[in-house]
Amino acid sequence: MTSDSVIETFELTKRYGRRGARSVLAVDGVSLSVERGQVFGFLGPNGSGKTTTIGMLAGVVRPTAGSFSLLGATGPRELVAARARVGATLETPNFYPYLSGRDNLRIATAIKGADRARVDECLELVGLADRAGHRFGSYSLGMKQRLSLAATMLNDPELVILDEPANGLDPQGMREIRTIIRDLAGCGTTIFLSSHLLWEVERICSHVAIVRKGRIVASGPVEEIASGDISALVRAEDEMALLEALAGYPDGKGAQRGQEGVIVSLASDDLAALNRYLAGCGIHLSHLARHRQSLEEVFVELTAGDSRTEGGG
Amino acid sequence: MSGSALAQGARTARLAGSVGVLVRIELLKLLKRRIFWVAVVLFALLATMKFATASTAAGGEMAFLLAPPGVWPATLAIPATVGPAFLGLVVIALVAPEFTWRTARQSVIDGLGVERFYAAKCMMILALSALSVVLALVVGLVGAAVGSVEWESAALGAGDVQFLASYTAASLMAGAAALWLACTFRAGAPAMVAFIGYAVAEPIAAAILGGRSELLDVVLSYLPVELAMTLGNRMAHYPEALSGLREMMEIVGMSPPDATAVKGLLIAVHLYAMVLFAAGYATMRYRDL
Ligand SMILES: Nc1ncnc2c1ncn2[C@@H]1O[C@H](COP(=O)(O)OP(=O)(O)O)[C@@H](O)[C@H]1O
Ligand SMILES: [Mg+2]
Repeated sequence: MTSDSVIETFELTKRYGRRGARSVLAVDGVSLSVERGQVFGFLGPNGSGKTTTIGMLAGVVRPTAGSFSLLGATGPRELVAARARVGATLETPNFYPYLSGRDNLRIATAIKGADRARVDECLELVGLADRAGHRFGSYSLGMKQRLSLAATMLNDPELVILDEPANGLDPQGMREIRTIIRDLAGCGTTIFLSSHLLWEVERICSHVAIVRKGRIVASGPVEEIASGDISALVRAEDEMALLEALAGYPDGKGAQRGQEGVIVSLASDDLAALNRYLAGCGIHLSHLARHRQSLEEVFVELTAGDSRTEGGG
Repeated sequence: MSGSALAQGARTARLAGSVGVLVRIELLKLLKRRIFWVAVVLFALLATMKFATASTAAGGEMAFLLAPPGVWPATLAIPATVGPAFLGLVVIALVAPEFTWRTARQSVIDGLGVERFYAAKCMMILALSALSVVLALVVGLVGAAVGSVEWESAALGAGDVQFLASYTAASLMAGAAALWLACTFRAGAPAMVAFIGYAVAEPIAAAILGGRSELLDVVLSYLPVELAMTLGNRMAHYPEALSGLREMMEIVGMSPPDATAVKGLLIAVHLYAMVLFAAGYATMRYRDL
């Protein structure tokens, strides 16, 4: 294990219910590593096991198999202490509805052993200072989400874990949450963030793991994941001839007609060689460019069909 | 001071700090909970009511038969019979929402840990049991001060102490049962239905099964609700003062509680409380939140 891993999971697995027809394998051998300073996006469609994974890290879901470390802690007692140094939310903002936002944060402060002065500072940070004395039950969804963000910051945590922090918010609310998270990341806090909405995280994450049906299907720095295979976008007048010629290209790994032209997967990114080869075949390109797959395309490709089969697995 | 004594001292200080945190958290939650204050007022009223009726009844001709001397038996009469059940329902009302609001979950996420969350609830039950005793005592003292009762009767006798101890233990058992049910059902309504359902079902089952064999009757008398009812009965604690009433009951074929068995019953109640506290802990420990 690397010394700078703040989260490290090894083959983490959770099966709800006993083995059998009605049991659900929610998380299936997830191994990932989050290093200090990263803004790590944990992406996957609904029901892919994000909440369950975070629940195991947070100590409210018992793993069926596998192990993990949190801020270097692995034993049960160590983990309880480590969690006090982490700020985490799970699914919904969970607070006492009859208490004010401020009193709710006072309770969290007492649990975490944080400085009481932080309560008002954090309320200020998320823009709740003027409603801090009102009952939590009277808050709008956006205010509830912001209060739970405030709660994660109480102890100036080294690591913040957020489970779908902008779920159910309108674009304005999402923007506010994103700004807060970005500020937090700007201060060097490591952030582990789950979402089923790619565009919600792609602009703030440095690293991502894409999870599907409880398994990690891709992970790494955003640029690496997003670029994926090396490929080129080519256009020519006679598309049929172009495709035929590409089929015989020794460095090619397949070609596909796309909306904007033909996309060729390549073994090397020597576009000049491709151009020479096609010219030799008598095909003159009207367009040749390196093609970058966006994170969104990767995400859609990797998790394709999940929204239809969701709940059926 | 030796090194090990220092380490021991540090451990004690840490434990005290940890307990202090739990107390602070639970107080923050409790003191702003409306249902808590409603329960306190209701309970004080219950205690006062009996005192009022008892002090007027004490002026009647049958007083020597119906009431043992002093303030305490009168004050404790109602709390001791309905107090444990009342406390159980209050505990469910206070604890079960921690699951529906998912604040239990959040407390664990925040680093409280399941153990300390549960320990805080156990401490709360101890505190509520103590509070119900204190409330009954205060009501008794106020009653003695304003009522016609003479002050000497406000001194605690051996029977009074036993009555108080029994009542406290029964409350603890009911609180432990309530905590276990709240942690198992994780919602107020079903936990209360189960709690009340059991309290009603046990005496009915005991009545149906009773009188068949001596052994079975002994077993039945050690069932939790039966225990609590016996311990809450004044006749178990003031046998001499109420001997007249006991005789009358025996003549009409009723069986007054056996005053000599109280120690055994108290041990049984404590055992039940411990088992129930442990069961609640196991539920918390081995289930996902
Ligand atoms: N408490 C539970 N009992 C049984 N199945 C559950 C439970 N929680 C989640 N699941 C199932 O586990 C799978 C993963 O759920 P979840 O971790 O909530 O996914 P996500 O957060 O990615 O939407 C889903 O199929 C869900 O139905
Ligand atoms: Mg989720």
